[in-house]
Amino acid sequence: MDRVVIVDYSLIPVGEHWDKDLGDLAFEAAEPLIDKYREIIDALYIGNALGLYCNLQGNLGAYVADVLGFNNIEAFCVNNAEASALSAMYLAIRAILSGEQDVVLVGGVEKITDILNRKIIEGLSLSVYHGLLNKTGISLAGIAALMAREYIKRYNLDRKYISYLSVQDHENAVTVKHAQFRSKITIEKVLNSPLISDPLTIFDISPVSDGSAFVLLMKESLAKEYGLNYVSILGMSMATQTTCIIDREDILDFKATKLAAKKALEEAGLKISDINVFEVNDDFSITGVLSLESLNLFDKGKAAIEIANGKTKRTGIFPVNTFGGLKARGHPIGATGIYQVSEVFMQLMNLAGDNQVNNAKYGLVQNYGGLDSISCVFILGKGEVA
Amino acid sequence: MTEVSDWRNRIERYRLLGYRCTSCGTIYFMRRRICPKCASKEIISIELPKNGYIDNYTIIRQAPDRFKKYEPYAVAIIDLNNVKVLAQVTDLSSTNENLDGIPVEAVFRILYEYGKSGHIVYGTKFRPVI
Repeated sequence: MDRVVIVDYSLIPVGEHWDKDLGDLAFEAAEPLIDKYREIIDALYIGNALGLYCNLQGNLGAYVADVLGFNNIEAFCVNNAEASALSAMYLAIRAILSGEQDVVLVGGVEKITDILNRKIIEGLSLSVYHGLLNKTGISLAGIAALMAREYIKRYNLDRKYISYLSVQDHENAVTVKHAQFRSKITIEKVLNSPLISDPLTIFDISPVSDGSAFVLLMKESLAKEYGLNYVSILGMSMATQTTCIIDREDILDFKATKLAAKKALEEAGLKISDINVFEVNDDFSITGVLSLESLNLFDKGKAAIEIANGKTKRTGIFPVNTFGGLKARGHPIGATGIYQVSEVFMQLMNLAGDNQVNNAKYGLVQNYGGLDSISCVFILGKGEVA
Repeated sequence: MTEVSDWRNRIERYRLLGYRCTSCGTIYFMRRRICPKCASKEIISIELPKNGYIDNYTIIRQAPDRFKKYEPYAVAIIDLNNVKVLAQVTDLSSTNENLDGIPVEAVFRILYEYGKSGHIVYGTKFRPVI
């Protein structure tokens, strides 16, 4: 069967783009791909989570197609909260596999900073059951904080271990041009910074970010015909669990990620230990820890310590978030998944520059929404894979 | 989160309702139309116990606009013996003490207000049992 492959990517720096609107971000991010491939693109899939909330702009399939100068192509907007971008890519791959489309442009765009901070806090909680906030006043960070406290209590851990992923993210992002934060932080700095929701401080929490990123997908046979280098989609899966976090049997169990990862690895015919580079959804330090455990990379209760021990550093045995992850590269909600994919693409194509991991052959991307209410896992492979 | 949905859900908030599957017995915080465990549609609303203890909690120091005037405030997972609920904890002398394990009881309180319409939304919070 013909595989689907990624032949190119394009992205803009993640950050607070006060002088740009949703359309500006999408256009700037997509422009290099439009310039090169415009004539052969059959369809557009766009991920976005909060356009209706932050920008009062709906119908983003048509809107972004219009912004990019397309007439009469198929266009879809996918909103699966923070997993929107990878969900859009999931559907784009399905469309190519169906045989209906040959070349698809997939992107994510998010413009959060059109509204003020207090309203953003409310907007971010739209990805979980609305009754949680409405009945109690808990924010998304508050729910993550409950997970962090439960983790610390259950495994009798020093609180500082929760935050080593934030330190690692910042370290990795120093050399990343598209990262929002390019400065190192220490564990002491994380612990002594203002609390947002105890025990999580501002450095345990991904920032408010605008951004947009795109990748170009096509059939493998076509990529060969055009003589393009590529990264192959070897496996992908998606799963859901309850959005009502308090109704989960165990708030530390990321069941959706666990199931999606198992199925994606099975499809790829690989084991988790075969993967050379990981991009995981660490919108909070603790949720990055729980994501790594649900991927089965570490046993339950062990990931936080293994991160502190350096296992997930760029030079460690399991390099995680080599461009800074959601914490330091930034987290433009409905665009994040395509940043993650682009970064794994760079690693596998040896385009990662200062951040290059040696001999990376297989990569994994995990992008969830609503604290694992919905999770997508992709397995990517370098070039032609048997 | 609009005046209309707040009106529609008022009883659930005032009486601290949970939802019990009569087939498998699971009790849910979110109103269910079908039981995700056993697929039964025989779900009834029940008034949850009004006394329990704090299982886990956090202090919200950056709240959405609606809740801002109460910050910092505690939100806790409260163990009501057969079910856990999420609720705000009120009447605390300080948000710096360890709240784990303390006994709490349900109280009827203002949750938030709509500035423009003057509409007040009430619900259930918990307070320490003295």
